[in-house]
Amino acid sequence: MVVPIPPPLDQVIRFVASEPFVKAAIFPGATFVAVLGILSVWYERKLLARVMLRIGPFHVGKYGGWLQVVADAVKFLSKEYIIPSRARRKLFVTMPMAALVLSALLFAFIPFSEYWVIYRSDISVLLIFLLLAVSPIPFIIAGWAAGSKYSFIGMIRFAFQVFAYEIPLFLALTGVIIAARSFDIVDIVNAQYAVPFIITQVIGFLVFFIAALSEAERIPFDLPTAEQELVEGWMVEYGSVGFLTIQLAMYTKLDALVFLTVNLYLGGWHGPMLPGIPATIAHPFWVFVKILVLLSIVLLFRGVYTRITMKKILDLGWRVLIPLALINLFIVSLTVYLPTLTA
Amino acid sequence: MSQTEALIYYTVLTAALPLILILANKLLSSGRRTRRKRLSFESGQVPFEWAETSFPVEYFPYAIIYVAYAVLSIAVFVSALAIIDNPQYALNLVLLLGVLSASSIFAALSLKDLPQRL
Repeated sequence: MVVPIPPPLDQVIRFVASEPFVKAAIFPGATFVAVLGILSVWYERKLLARVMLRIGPFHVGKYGGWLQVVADAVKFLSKEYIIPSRARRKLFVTMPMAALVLSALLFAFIPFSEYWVIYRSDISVLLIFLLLAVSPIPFIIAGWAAGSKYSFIGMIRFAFQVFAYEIPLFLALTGVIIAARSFDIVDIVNAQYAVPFIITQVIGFLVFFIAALSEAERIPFDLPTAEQELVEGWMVEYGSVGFLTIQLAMYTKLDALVFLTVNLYLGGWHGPMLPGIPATIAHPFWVFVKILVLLSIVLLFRGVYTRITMKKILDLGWRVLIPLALINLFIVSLTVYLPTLTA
Repeated sequence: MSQTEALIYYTVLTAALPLILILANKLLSSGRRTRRKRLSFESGQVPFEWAETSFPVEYFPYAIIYVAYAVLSIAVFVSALAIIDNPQYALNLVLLLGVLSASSIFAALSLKDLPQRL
């Protein structure tokens, strides 16, 4: 005998199992983004430990200390959230939250395949650039709101770094848009079916990758949070849940930038056919393989490179990347124009 | 419609995440707040003056350069949009980018001696 499900419960089950909710809450939505942020921290610790001939996280969690990050998160949550007396209280509390929301929203427009995307838009590249352009603002305001000289200096450094690298990032994106003749990331990935843009726009890729590293404040561009001299820079006054939120926002943004690089330059989900495996699984699989490779490279920089000075960071942004981005655009526009002559 | 629904759900969940973290912190952390804990310290000393007094004015040239390049990049972007549908007019963009590339290299060489302090 089949027991009928009561109507209210049936509605809840239907809602939870519906496609929009699964995409928003599980994959590639909130749960995936949160787990990805946590795993990135763990992976970075293990990878850097191997580089430095250490073991890394080991004791908490049976396999490679994978629960260490969760334990750290619980520790941060159990600490008292101290707001310094000189801080602008409302901004100090709200800015890390805004940073996390803006970073996580990037994933709403990043596709894992033609099917696995939360919101496919005709202008998804522009929406992502808009979010990328706005996302440093909470960090800058947070540094100012803390009311400390260390955080203020870190904030100034961060602001100038972002200024220097935002335009090259935008110009590199423009090259991709011209080559794919679309603002939709799904179309851009499909335009790389035969040849990924990393081959046809190698200068653009380098510009985008370096600018993305700077946006994510990764070594060698982590001067705003320089641990040794500024004791975490603009986030020095943050502890407890504020620090946890900022860390989560920064790693989420880093992951989003890596996903974006894979989609814009490495051909996204296109890869060799896997026999017997449907495209709905094979496509995200290839995305993850490429992500793992690129993320490993980004994380390895922390173990390999030293921090460079502010002068070199600004020089690289203004004097090298912008001319390179314009030269890349020049080449791309030539590749669009020359075929029209023969036609 | 389902895409819009997914975006709305995702935005709500994303906005709820930091609130949940704050709530968890309220529940898990100790409530013993004292005035001494909230005092700022700089290298173990009580801070002097306001933080904003150390703002380096010589960085303003970069802000001006940013505005100039931002306008240029918007112009390039709008020109690039035009050739998506009409690639036969790409020569105009090629010329524009040729001039901009050359001038940006000249500007890069000229920017070498701009004062910097941080």
